Amino acid sequence: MRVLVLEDDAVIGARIAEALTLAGFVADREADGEIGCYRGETEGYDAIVLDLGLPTLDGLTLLKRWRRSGVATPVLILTARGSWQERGEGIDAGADDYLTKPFQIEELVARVRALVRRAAGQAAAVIVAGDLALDTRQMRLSLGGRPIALSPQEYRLVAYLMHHQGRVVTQEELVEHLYHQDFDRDSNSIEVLIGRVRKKLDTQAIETRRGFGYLIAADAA
Amino acid sequence: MRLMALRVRLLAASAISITMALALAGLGISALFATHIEKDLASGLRDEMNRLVALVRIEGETVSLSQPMPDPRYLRPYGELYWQINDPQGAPVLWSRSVWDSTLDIGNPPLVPGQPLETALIDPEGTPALARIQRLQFEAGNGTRVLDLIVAEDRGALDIAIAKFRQDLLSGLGLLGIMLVVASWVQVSVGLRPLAAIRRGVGEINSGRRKTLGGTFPLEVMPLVNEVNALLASQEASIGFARARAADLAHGLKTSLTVLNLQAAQLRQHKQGEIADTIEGLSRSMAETIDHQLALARLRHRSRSKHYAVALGPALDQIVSAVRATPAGRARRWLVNAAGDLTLDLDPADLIELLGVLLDNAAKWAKEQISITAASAGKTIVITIDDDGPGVAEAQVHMLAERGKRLDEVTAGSGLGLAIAEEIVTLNAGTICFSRAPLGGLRARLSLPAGAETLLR
Repeated sequence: MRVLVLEDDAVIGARIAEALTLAGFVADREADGEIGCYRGETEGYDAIVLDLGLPTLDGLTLLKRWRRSGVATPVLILTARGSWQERGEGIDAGADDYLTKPFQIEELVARVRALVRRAAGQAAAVIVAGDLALDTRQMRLSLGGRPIALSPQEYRLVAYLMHHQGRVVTQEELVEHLYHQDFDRDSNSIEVLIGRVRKKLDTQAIETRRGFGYLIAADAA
Repeated sequence: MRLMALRVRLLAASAISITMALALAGLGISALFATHIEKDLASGLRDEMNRLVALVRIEGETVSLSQPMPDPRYLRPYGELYWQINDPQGAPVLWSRSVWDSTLDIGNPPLVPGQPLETALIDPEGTPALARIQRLQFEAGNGTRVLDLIVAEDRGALDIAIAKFRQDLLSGLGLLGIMLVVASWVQVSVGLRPLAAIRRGVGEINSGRRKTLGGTFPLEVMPLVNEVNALLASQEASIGFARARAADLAHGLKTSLTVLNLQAAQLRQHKQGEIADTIEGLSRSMAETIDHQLALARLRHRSRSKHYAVALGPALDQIVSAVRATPAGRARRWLVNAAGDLTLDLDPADLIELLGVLLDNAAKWAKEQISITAASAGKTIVITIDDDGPGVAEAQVHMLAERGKRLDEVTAGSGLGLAIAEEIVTLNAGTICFSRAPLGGLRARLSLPAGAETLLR
């Protein structure tokens, strides 16, 4: 799950990215509005954390531009002003949630998690696919009640497939959503990762559709 | 009121000046008329004197007229026209029949031969008369005889003519005065019309129907219109500037507070939870103070005389959407029942802030459902916001809107929200009261002034 953090304050940006990474996300940071706008339009993010007070291009204008050009990525806006006028304008411009500064980092992570889940059509914090249950708050996977220990990268893979259960996810999509932009896209790391997870699950929960990609069925395992 | 005073003042000034001018004109014209007809009378007496002088004949001691004076009034007793000849001692020698059984008493004026004298006297009938007296030396045999010749005319007719003229003049001038006052009333009304237009324009600015004074005005009034427009623009700009600066300051402070909060989270990770809690508590309290002060500053910048007609529906939709975007708002069922065309006489930003605070509070406390109704009730709009949360005990209801008062210390919040709501409502001449909702939770009942459009319906 990749999240774009558009925040001009270096300390806040770094702390948000760090917390999101710890929560199992791949976080990209950007401080410049124009560049952030371009990245939001061209890269496949699962959520965007957008500060409204950005230099060069303000957050509200940027958000409207994204929505006009068809970017449907869920956006959490951060606002320092906290007036209902600004919050209302943010929601009208296409934001999915807002958080007023100063916020607690745990709150931000929980909101981002909820946004990503909702965008994938999952309402509950624990996503279930057959015997598999993914607790997005605890970052824990269990199979028939038995906890499965996963590395961060493995967790991201399973989380992405669980969020999009019942849909075939291509290898390119996985690369796009699991790794930073500068990742070598020709490597066979996804195949290696899938192999490792399958071994840990000891089931055929992750199916391979040759020539298409991978799938966790809604009634998997 | 001032416009009336100005009109009254202008009318009073013009009435006073018209009255003074007409009074002076009346006195002048009347004096001219009197002088003119007195001159006529004096000129007639001069002619009569010349005739009398020509007719005087002296034979020895006897003074007579060679023929009677032609005017028949001399022959009628008290005939209003008189002549009399006195010796230098003042004793009458000869007189007209009109003098009858009396004499013309001229007193003892200083007479010089050849120099006529005009004087007023009382005629034989006892009425004032104008007299011309002339002392002359007549040839009489081998010597001369000095005689005083007097002609006099009753001025009763003259005085009646003057009085009649004055009466006619007075009614004429009175009528003219009334016409002039009416004309000046029309003039003042026409003259003040641009001021009335400015007053209407300012009224429309106050009621929020327009931003500046528009339309064409006379050259003399145009500078005032331009100045008012410039003042409005400068006021708008300075309020905008102050708000932007305050918002920038808040933005800067809150960014720093966010950093502080994030550092506190790191402290917690390093097992220094107590310090982290203190820092987070302080930063939350500072942020809430900033929000509260910003809200108050905005409220105080607002013009209290300005009127609005803000549609309730769109504002309600916007805030319900915004609150529904939050985890608490998303989990609740929202029932909104508001007539679509209600408008409020409330600053648009105030309305958004008020609804935001109240709906956010309802979402925070509700278990499942929030119900909002709005309806017109005469000159007010009544908005009710109910939730099915735990509610507030009757005894504590009055504490709800007290600044900084929190009835619950666990759920996040400063207790400033409802105090701000109360301030917004009071500033906008409305009322807010809290009670127990039929759903079981809290009911906030707002009564706010209706906007012009709602009242017109």
